[in-house]
Amino acid sequence: MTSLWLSACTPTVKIEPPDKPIVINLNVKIEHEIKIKVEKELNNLLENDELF
Amino acid sequence: MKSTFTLATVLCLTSLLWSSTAWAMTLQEAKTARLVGEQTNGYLGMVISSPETQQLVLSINAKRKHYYQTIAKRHDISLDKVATLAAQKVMEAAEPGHMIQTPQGRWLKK
Repeated sequence: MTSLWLSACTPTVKIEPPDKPIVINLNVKIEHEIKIKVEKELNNLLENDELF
Repeated sequence: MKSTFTLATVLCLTSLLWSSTAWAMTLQEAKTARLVGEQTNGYLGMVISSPETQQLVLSINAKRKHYYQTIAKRHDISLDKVATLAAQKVMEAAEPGHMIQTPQGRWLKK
């Protein structure tokens, strides 16, 4: 009973690093032309080291 | 009267000291130390919680939101769409070793 209680309190957390590159697809749906314009503005914004 | 003045001076000096320590950590330093990371919503998140990182995250996210809002208004799209698009870009551009968040909310080292 005691060992059960103890083991319940010591969970093993295994974190295995992925061997493939991490790809996160957030699927943003915006009209193509607007998307290109917004992306261009974001690229400029992303160059700001104090913000990104 | 004199004690009030002294108290005010001490308060001013303390706040000055406090704000200078809060700004001692730059965003790039915090990213390299993996204290903060990029979330899927386009805003910075705390990986390791502390008053210092919280201060940094709040300040940077307020500025980011301002710029996202400007872009969103200019193209008549939602703030969320701009922010999500920014998230995707910023995660792609993140340096190896920096932290990024999965859509499930888990922190990963890129």
